[in-house]
Amino acid sequence: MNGLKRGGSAIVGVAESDLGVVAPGTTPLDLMGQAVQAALEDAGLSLSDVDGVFSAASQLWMPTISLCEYLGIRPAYSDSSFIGGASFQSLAAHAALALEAGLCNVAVIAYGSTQRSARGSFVPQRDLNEYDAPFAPRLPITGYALAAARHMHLYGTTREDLADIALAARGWAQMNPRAFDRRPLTREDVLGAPMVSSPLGVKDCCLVTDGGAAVVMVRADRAKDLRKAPVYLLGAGEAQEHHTIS
Amino acid sequence: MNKIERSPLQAWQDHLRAGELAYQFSPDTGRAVFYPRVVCPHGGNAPLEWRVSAGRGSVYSISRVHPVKGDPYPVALIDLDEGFRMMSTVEGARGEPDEIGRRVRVTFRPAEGEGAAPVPVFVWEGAQ
Repeated sequence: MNGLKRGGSAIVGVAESDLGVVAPGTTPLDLMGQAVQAALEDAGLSLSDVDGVFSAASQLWMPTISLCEYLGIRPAYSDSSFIGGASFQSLAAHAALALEAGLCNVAVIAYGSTQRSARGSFVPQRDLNEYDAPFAPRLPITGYALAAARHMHLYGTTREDLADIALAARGWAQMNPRAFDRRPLTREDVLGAPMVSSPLGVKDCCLVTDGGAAVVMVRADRAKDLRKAPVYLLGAGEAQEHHTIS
Repeated sequence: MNKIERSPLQAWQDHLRAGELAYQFSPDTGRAVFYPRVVCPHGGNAPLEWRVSAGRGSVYSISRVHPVKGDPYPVALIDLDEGFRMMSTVEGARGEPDEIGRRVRVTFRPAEGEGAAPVPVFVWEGAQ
């Protein structure tokens, strides 16, 4: 992203909220608040220092307004650009731009979701157009399934190859004490799991869990004096070309 | 600026009611456009024109969707010979990758419900 100075800003605090299945009645904002407070603690900063707020969330229509209200912040700068799961990498770049431009001095980027607890009552909003809707794709999975089937056709990729992705992810989970599902998983488990949208079965798909996280960013000059060693943002890029799979 | 007298969706559905699979064409760029819209996404300035497809193409990709309730059904991406791609289904397809590349032709499922338009679906080329 042109305009970003290499190492001009840094991540100085990070935290996760409760993960997996959260206490009954917990809201996405509760998880964001919990994570923001812990991330600020990690950095040695407090809520009163925060003047830049960045957030995206599938369960909140206007996440930065809601989060600022929840935290009692009147931000100098906020950004809730939503580009799906890549939003937070993008928001880190936006936060760096805002910090470097002097629009804010302490930026928090936050996410929270209760999509496991809310299963059944919460249906994520999908921008399914009138031309695709009659064919009832199970989005987003059918979109990935159509891409995977095409990949199989072009390159001879097999379901076994795809299963190895799920096995690798589970392998990482087994090394992470906070991971939701750390049980052993075999290729046969993946291949034999119920289908969702062929060639993808339920074990090819990501887990649906509750969770949240927050990141604190400041300009490089201030980063040096905080509690933890800063992680400098050296660069960022983003691209997009389509939303509908068709 | 011209007022939108008839929406792209309405125009497309009117073609469906006439038994036609319509798409748009960008005269400035010589490219087909689908889904229908009011602005050329390829950088053209001239208004998009409506054209009627011959309804022949091939399967770009296909999946067998398993709903929470009910029987599985195929969902496909079809590349029409005029150069546009659309989501649809192929009747009788299994929804497996070995069906990718097969030739198909359009047919129309009757409208369901008041005010609805017929739905363009595909069958294998050569099927009755």
